[in-house]
Amino acid sequence: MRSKTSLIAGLSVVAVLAIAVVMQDATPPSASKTEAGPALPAGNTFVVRGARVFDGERVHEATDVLVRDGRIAAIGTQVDAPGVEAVDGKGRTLMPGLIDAHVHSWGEARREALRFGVTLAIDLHGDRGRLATLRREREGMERTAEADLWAAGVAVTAPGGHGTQYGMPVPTLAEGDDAAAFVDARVDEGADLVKLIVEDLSAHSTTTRWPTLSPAQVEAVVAAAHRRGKRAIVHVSKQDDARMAARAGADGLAHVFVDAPSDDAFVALARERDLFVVPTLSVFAAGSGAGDGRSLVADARLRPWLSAAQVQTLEAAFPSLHAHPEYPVDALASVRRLHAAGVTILAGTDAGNPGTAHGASLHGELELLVRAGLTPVEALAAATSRSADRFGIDDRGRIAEGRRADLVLVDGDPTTDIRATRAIVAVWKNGYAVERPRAGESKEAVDVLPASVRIADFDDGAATAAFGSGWHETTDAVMGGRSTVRHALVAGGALGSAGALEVAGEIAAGSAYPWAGIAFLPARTPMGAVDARANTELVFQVRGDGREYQVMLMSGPTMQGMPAMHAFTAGPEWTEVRLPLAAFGGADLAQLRAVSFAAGAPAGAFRFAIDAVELRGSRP
Amino acid sequence: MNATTFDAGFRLRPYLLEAKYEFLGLLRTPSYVLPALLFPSLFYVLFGVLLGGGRGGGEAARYLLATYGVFGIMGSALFGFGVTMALERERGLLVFKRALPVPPGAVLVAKMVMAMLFAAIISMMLAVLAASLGGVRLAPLQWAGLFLVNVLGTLPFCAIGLWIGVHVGGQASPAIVNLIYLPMAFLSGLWMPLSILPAIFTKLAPVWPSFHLSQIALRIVGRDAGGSLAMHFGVLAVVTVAFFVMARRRLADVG
Repeated sequence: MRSKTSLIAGLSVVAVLAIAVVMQDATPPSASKTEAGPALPAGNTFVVRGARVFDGERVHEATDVLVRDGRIAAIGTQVDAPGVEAVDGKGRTLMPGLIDAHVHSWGEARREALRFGVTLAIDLHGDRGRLATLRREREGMERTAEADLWAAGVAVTAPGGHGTQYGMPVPTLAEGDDAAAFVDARVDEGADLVKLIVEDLSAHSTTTRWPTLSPAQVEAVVAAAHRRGKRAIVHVSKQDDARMAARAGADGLAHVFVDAPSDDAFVALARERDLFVVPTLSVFAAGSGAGDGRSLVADARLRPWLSAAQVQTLEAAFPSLHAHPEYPVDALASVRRLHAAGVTILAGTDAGNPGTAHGASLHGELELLVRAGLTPVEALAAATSRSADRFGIDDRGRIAEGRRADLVLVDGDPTTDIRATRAIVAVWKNGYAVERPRAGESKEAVDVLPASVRIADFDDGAATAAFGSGWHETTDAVMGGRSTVRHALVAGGALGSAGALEVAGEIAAGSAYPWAGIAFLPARTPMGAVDARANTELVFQVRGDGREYQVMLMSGPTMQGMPAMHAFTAGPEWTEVRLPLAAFGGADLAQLRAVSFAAGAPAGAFRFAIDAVELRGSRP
Repeated sequence: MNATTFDAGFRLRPYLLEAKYEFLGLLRTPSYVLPALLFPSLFYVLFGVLLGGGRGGGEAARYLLATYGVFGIMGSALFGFGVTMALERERGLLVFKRALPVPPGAVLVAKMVMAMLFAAIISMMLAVLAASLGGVRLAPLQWAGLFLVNVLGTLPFCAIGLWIGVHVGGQASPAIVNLIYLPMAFLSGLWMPLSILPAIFTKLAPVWPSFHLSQIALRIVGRDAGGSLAMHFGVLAVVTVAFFVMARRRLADVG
């Protein structure tokens, strides 16, 4: 009898513990809770009740945060707010809106950033015509669907240096130019800070070298920026350049260098100069499996809000990095050492580049920073208060009375599990809840091309096209190459017509996929898409030096995908080339973005001319 | 003085005396007092304050306040019951006490009160350290809740300790208790969060009663893993009753 009672007692312990183990498995972390999403207040006055609050530096449990007219009005355990609409914060964490300290923002970027809780980004090279608008927008308290930007306008770089290859006109600082006057011009344009580029490409390529700023120029530019009360942030890829920038008085680095892990001397120098570092581990992480683009695409908490274009850029990788598997390791090691020594690390992604996506990548960067030795709370501070402090932005980056109510509410606890930042419940900008439509809920408007359509005959005295947004030179410079091209209208077209388009240049070795040529952009907005599914054939006249050339179709959700290619030869006499579009494997004709005529390897000079370019359909 | 209160006083007296001598006995056993009272505080200052306190907004100080509390009271209960019971049994004290005019439950009640008293002391010491050195800020109700969890949380471990004490000999008992106590603390995430250990540890953590108590304590400071509170209480209740029943049976058999 006695042993029977003991047996029952013993079995009940085993049973209850087994049930406990099974029950734990049955309640996985709350990834799906956010699916429907709570009803959020319509106005800019509300209170979040009972949330874990990360205020930019510290964590407060079970805390209320009252927002009134778009600003934080009170924080406490029992905030009195009669009649104010409440948001349930239990089991959730409220954080300041995230700050991405390194982006290149254009197109949809600010909208995409905000969708993922990035309420402010620091743009370190971009369109300088918008600086006044950016400032006006960020000072307002209106409802908005876009993240704010602090921006450098265009970066300071040498003639032909890094930053000049993107097709946007960039003023450059040549040897002997007046650095102070140059910086004054940038600041007068409205730059919030000054970005310098020190990049000769030697960390990424054994053959190609880019012109870059000299140490004396760096020193002069930094001094000029400081005279105007602006911070100077320097792009470097090499530790020696980072040393030079620190000694020149730079405030921060736009990347961690990748040619070697940080040595003790640099750690000491960075500490002594109070240098901050925006490591941008995101661009080095491709293929590492954690925090990189592919892992973000695979994350169910992010995937539904990624546009097709974002998915494509996240899955791409920085082309030059494939050759250097040690870069991500060295970058992590450097961040680990710098952080351990007390050097300020800020979260930035370099979004706008292959392998990244605006907004989403910051969540990966946070994970990478934790892998590099920051605690989750330190990583969150690096994406909020630290950035605000180091960039001198005083009304954001913290949850404190009087600050702008740029807020993110997530399920779970990112202060212990950093990946919980992805389980976004709500984003507020200027106190207004941001609509977070899933990708696919808004579609790009696309023009449909007629079945048969003439693109260009070059007979009216200009290198124009019948529709779309014209002809543009295209080279491998965007991928780090040095090939060149120029184009001109020439007399004596095919079949006795008045003119043709001549394209000539030189293919330079040293790039994985060298190319140079001319691209026709068929959509009304450059890089936009047209629907060419009614077309079956590309027909054109060609004449040239006898080389083999390629027609490259850029298509799909972005311009960054691999082009679909088909070869043709340009002989000495005008010849008609007919290429069936079905032969371009992988082309997405529903979203055709560019038709390029280009030379590729082998290296050397090339010259060809095209005329009477048209698309034909099966039906007349 | 009427008959009822006299009666009650008379009945309580042996329990109080038993508890008093248990307390004096333990206090005069430095091999119990020092580890039981000092280790949790020492570890907390080392790992929660010195190594983890300045960094990360006090997250370590807050997490470890909850878990070292559980760690500490678990030790006081397991040792207070497991080791003393084994020793007293071996020395024949229990048999001797049966001959005394003492209610049979008084020994157990005394030991239980002692474990709770030590738990209260440990809890207070950790709270003072956390608030002063660790910079942990909690609402009054949270402090009170942690204290309550620590004091009442001794019950399941008293039962487990008792069960060990009636099974093993006096010499072996400290080793056996340590063999259970230390791995269980580690595997329940009392020394470091389970999230930084391989996933299998998280999966198996609910096997350990200390995991369930620590989850309740962590829930109070908002750092739990999000399991069901009812389940944690249920497991602890079943463990307490079952081990107590098994120990009583054994005690009745072997004395």
